[in-house]
Amino acid sequence: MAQVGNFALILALVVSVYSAVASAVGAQRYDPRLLASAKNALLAATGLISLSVASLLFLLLSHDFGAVYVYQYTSRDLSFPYLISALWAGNSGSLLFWAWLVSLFALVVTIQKRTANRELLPYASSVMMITQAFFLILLVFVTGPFARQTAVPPDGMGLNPMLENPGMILHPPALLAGYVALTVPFAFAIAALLERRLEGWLPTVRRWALFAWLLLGVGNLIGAWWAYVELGWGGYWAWDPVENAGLMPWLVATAFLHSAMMQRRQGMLKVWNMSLIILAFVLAIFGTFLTRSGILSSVHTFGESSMGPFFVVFLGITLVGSFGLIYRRRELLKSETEIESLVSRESTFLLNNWLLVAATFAILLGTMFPLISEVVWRTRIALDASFFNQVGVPLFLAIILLSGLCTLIGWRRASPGSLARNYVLPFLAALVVVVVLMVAGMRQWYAIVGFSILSFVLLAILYDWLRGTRARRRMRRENYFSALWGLVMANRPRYGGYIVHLGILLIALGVTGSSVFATEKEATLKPGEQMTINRYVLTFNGLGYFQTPSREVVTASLSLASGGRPLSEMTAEKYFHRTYEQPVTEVAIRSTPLEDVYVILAGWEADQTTTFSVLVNPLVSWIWFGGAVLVLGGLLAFWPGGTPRTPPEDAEEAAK
Amino acid sequence: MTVFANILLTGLVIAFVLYPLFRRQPASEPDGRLQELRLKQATAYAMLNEIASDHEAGKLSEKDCRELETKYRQEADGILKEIDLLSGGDLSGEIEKGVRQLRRGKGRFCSQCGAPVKPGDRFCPQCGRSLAR
Repeated sequence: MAQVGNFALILALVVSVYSAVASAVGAQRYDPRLLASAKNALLAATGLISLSVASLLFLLLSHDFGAVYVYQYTSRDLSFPYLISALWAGNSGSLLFWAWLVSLFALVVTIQKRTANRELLPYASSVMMITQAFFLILLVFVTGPFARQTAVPPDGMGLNPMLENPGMILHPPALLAGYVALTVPFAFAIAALLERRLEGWLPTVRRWALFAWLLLGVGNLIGAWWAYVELGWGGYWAWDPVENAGLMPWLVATAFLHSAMMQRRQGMLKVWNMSLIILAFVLAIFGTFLTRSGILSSVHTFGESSMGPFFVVFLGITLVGSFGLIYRRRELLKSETEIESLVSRESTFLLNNWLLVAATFAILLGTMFPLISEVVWRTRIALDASFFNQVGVPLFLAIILLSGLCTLIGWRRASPGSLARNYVLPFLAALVVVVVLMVAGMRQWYAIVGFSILSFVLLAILYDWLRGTRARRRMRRENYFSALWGLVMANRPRYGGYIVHLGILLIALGVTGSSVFATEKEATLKPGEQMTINRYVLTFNGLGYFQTPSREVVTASLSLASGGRPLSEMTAEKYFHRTYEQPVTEVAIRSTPLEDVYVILAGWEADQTTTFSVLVNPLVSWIWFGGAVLVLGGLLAFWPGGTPRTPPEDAEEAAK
Repeated sequence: MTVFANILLTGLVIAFVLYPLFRRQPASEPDGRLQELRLKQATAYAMLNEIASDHEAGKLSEKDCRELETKYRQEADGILKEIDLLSGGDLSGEIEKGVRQLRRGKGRFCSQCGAPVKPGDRFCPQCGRSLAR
């Protein structure tokens, strides 16, 4: 089975290279037979890589520990879902998964019923096949998942215990699929440049870019949730290099989704859009590189490898090639219109785009700083979270504020009168929030600014919905509910976007609350003793111990009470895995909409004297709830249809 | 056994990939320019919808709304003409639709200059007079 899997990879590499070349040559010579052959080669590559994935799955599920990969990442007692997740848990497996996803997406792009931009398909599939061939080269020549060892051990080393968490089944594939999905818009952008068809390619890739954006968002959120419940240090985001690697393409994709709207409507920002999508793709490859090369130490580093130079060469070729192509097509990429007024939705979009890209570069600089400092000053200096917070928080607040401002501005221009009328209500709301918070005794000005911006934007969005609903109700004589429903359904991309904004607001609410107002306390307790934190009283009941085939687990049970009223029983754990030396922490969390009580079992003595680290994290649940809202809005915008395609009827016509 | 499987796999893949090269020329694909125009048309219509709702919601003044609407209406008309040219000048569908609308009493003429106006028009495309009654 292993030989077949490996052979399929080699064959897939040959076929992908053939497909890339045949597509490009076929497109240049307008040779439909060569193009048909290239398409078949693409389909064959998808089949071959799928065969390879199937044989790796077979090895994993049949516990064939003669295969090094199976030995390193699984064991006999691993349950079925984690055996599947071992497919992307290791280096070579995750690269195989990457290549497989590229081939699947290329397949979908090829067989999709396409009404527009058919001419772009050959070049686009050529670009996708080149990307696929790059990953196949790594798999065939550098790190194959099918390597075998002569001695067959009775059991494997098992999955890294920290990865045994439901979040880890979803987080890597979501994030990887997001990275990979960025290949599609990138491929179409390059194809549009090569074919000199720079007008109509955007609608074709909008949904792919949105799909990638959604997957990256979901991947990052699940990753944050995993860090919160599994890593046991009390937070959800540490500005770890690989976390940043997942965030950066998401930010650039966010910028692209917004600026693409402006190109579609006004023919502006063509070079900018091209650059953004190239940047997003390069950052996706860079993210894979960071995760897999181990050049920067991170919670995600699962072993060093020799892939670095390959990635550097591929990234270099992509950057130089793409931007060179933009330069050669610069005449065709001129804007059709200029921004008419400084106070218009266009200018807020543009400003927001700059801020998103600025935030991305700040994060990139911070992430790469250890490498930069090593080259420049010969010492490796890592920037800690405070750098990212100081630079990132103001930028993100400004981005959120702008998203509220642009909601109430029309396209092209806004008259001062309508602006004042539109902003007065949200502005008053923000002012009320400031006053209430100050009166309530809050003095952390970061939080006050944050909360007032959030309430401004929230009101701006709700106010816009209210007015849209009212206008529709007047026009169609509907009741409020069906008018609102009709409003949203009639323009799903737009209102899906607003729902995403609401999700971002909720996430920002959670982040502000938990980063400004978290309290932490350490205590060493004997069984029966109590500790207090804020309004909570924790009583330590005693330690427990049990064993499973692969782990030894120590549990500490506590009772949580507040104001004399018992709230819940909590169990914090620490366990030792058979093959991994590091102990793994399982935190106990009691979550309410207001705040989380988060208990970490830090250590214990022979006489049951136990040390706990306890945190009260306000508003954290809103991050996960906001994430769900974000996904909902993204799906609404992603769902087919929903953009009006008929000329609008005027008010009287509609009323008849 | 493995060698046999690999040879078989290689043979199948080669046959599948090279087969199209020896087939007769496949039929040509439909014109892409037409599809591109349809997309642009949809975008122009979406813009018109948005302008109407922005105006309705008080984000655009009457004057701006009118200006923008004329501009996009002209753009949409231009695209429509080009589509008709490309698809062989077949205007009969549009005309029939117009006739049907006239019969149903939906078609109108501008009260100032007499130019025909479309059912969606808020202002006369000829002289710019407001058509709101």
